[in-house]
Amino acid sequence: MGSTVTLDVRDPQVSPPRLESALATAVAVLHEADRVFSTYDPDSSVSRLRRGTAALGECPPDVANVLAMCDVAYEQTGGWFDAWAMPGGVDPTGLVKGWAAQRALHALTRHGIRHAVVNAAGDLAVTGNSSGRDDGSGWRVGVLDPGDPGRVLDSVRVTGTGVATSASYERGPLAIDPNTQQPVQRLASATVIGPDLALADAYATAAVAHGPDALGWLEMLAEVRAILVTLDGKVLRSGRSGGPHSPRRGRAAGESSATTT
Amino acid sequence: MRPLLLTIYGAVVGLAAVLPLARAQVDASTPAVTVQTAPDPNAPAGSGTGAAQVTATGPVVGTRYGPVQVKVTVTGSRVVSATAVQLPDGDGQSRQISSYAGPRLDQAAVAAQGAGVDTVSGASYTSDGYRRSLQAALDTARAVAAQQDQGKP
Repeated sequence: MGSTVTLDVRDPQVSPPRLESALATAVAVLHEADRVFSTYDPDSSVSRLRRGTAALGECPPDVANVLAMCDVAYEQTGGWFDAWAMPGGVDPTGLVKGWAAQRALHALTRHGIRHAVVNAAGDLAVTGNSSGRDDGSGWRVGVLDPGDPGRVLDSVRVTGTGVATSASYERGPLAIDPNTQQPVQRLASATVIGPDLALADAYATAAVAHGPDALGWLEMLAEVRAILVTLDGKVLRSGRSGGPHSPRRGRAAGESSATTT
Repeated sequence: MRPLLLTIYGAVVGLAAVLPLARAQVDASTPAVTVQTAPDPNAPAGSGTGAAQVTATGPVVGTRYGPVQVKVTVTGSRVVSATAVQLPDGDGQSRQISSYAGPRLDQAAVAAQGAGVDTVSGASYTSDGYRRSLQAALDTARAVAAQQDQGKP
């Protein structure tokens, strides 16, 4: 079925009319993203771009913006995220869900919402605190064990950030190896935490295609942390500490925990 | 991206309102949530302490594969179980989806609550109907249980 997006607003004092207006705008942003970028809809701008029946200049400006982000992701991942090496033509899908969810959150904050999460089928962006109060508690985000989705493998406490996970709990491999254009899965899951959910989405996708060696380029990315689960269940972590909501770094491979950091 | 299914809720002081803004492939649901309360079976007998156990049955949500309805049991603020009381079974394919997705979604829902997290990254709920019914039942049950907690001396 489709991507389920959940919007959860925790502000205790927002008036119902303001909440409805904020949510309506956020929903419109998501529907517009779906209309422009869905590769399941043959009439979407991206579908027409892929078929060659529309030029980039004829598409909404967001298409060029998203492709520019794909360019950045290509550079930052050493080519392991490559929107131009996808079967069927240029395909920014590995980044669009995170991009759309982040824009939906921006729609909420532009309406004065201060405590919210937008969760697009596991790629999420948060602002404020889940308590709805200015208490610095942030949001506790659980990462599921890809081998046992009934179990939370780890949790991080974050705010003003995005958390993207690429995994295959139910279906087959989700990632395309840009070198072969074939489906591949070299990690059970990759969770990337960073200030930009679109890029986090791309990095998680690239990591699952690349495998544990993705730690190489993940470690180079400023303000980005990753939790990788290998195919045999080892947990690897990358990332620099910094700021009150970051975890300690330097966990060894094979050490997993369910502690809140 | 794949076609969108939307679930929206706003939480205001512990109560949840499922706002009817979601469109796409899920039919509108009936808003009623049935709530039953019972003494916490784990509390010491005659002690007068212990949280009540609240069981809430979510609304029947229509999906294109059939109706989905979820029952959730909450003690205090802690979810102890989530089960689907109705899952689509009209045809062979939806039966297959339901038998696979149901228990997995139950586990994820309970795990998320049990681990004390606010939300999870990586869960790709394949049934929007399940999630809507679960969430409505969950939030109502928690709100009722919390109110009962506050009412104790």
